[in-house]
Amino acid sequence: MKGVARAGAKARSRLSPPRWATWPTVIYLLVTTQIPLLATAYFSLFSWNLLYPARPFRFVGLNNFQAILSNGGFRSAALNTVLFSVVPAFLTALIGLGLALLVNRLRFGRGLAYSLLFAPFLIMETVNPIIWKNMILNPIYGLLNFALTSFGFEAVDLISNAPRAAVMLMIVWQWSPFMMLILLAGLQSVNTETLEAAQIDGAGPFNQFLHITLPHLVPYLTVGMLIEAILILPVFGPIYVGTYGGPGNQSTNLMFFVFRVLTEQYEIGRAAAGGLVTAFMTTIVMMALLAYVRPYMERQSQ
Amino acid sequence: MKARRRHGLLVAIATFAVALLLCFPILWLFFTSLKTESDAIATPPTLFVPLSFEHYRQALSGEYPHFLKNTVIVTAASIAIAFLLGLPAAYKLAFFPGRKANDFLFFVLSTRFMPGVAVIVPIFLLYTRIGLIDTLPGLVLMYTTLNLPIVVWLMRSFFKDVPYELIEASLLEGASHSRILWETVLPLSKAGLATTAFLLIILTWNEFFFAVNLSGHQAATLPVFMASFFTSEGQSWARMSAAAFLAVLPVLLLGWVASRALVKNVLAGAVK
Repeated sequence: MKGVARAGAKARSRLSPPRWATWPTVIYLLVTTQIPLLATAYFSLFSWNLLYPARPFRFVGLNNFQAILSNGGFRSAALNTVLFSVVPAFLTALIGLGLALLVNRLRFGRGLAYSLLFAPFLIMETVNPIIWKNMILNPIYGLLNFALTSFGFEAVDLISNAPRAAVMLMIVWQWSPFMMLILLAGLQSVNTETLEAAQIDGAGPFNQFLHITLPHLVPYLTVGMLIEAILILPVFGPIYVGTYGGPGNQSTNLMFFVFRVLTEQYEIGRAAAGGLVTAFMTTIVMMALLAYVRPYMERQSQ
Repeated sequence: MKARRRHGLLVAIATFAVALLLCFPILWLFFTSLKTESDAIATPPTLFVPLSFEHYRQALSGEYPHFLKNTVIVTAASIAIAFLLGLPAAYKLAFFPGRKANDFLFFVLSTRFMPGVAVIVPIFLLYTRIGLIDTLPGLVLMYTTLNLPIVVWLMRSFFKDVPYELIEASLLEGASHSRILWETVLPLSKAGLATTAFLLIILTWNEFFFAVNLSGHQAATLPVFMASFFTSEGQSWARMSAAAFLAVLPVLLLGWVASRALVKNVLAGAVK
């Protein structure tokens, strides 16, 4: 008996988990993300401009936050940040759902369809606005106005007159494939037996979709939209290349606002304060995601 | 049966019509890159004009190779380091999760979701001070940060496909964890490794925010090159299109080859 117990203990100690395995990841991420985040918080409390080295590095408390919060440009940037992530999240959910439903019914050529539908997601965020701004939305030479005027509509200049819509158009184009991907996962896990049973009971395709498929997709839609909101929130390329935040600062978001404060005005304290506000907004969405996903994960790990 | 087949054909036509519409901007970019400058901006848009690869020849003999080289180096190095650091963590989380596993996973994820502006100020200051600004190692350091969480999350879910009994048996034979990871688990997770690497290549290749903040000319990657090309020569549509198409081509080709596997594997990984 004793021998068996000892063998068991020995086996168990052999089966002990690798102790240091997570350390490299933890240390690396702490050093490159958490320490800089703390440093950002620290710098946000100081007044410091790199262009004027003679001026002292001076503690100013929450003045930087007060300054940016009372700045009209900052407020509109914060608003745009919300707009640019919420509207595309919904639009891509709609488009992605349509695409996923189509592809899911496809019986041949799936590989080709995936490749084509996925392509916009592979395009660089600086090439995307080059295509849209020049070749499609350009008021004189662009394809959109060529199409509009040849059908007798009036020409439009989105980049100057509706820069926010132009930026969102680029985001939606790029991110619809992402949503399609997530919803496809949902569709492929719909229980086909339930669908068949419903069909036998006389439910039409629309009712099947409304009462079986759609409820099944709700968690996928929710998680997909939350992840998208988090990933689009710091969108940068389409603004930098597409509109440079303009005209004026109509299409500036927080990411771009901070970038300009940092690289054009060299106002370290204010840039840091702006960065913290952005981090705070992301954290809110992240908490929502966590609260939603956590119960699933806990259930799974039991 | 006949109605069903017709239905299938309709679905196929609709799908490919939509797919082509979605891809149209990319196809048009390629088409424009083959035209002469005056044909490229002609209105109404020209269709039947002489085409040539002249702009590609120009682009390739210009600065493009320098930025391509930077992008390849930065992408490859940051992905390799991320795997090196993250695989042991993924192994532990997959087979010996322990009570804190979910907290750990969420911490890792939260670092990936943090926007660049939250950390750029001190990183920028530090890089300027210690001479990492506009260097490839400087970019590699930050890209490793972006790639590491994805390695941990995805590889953990792929490792879960390997039966735990296999690990247990090897442990009882006295194998060390690093040997099991290297000789048992990784060979069984090749598809997962490829999928993860593929996703990381797309994301790193296209990253712009850190690249534009932390590099000038020396270490600039292709996204930065495209942005500056647009600023300096935005009027030469055909030349710019050629450069832009060259910049996205490697990832597009990779996507063409691997998108199906990606759809299947990432989905499987994400759902688990």
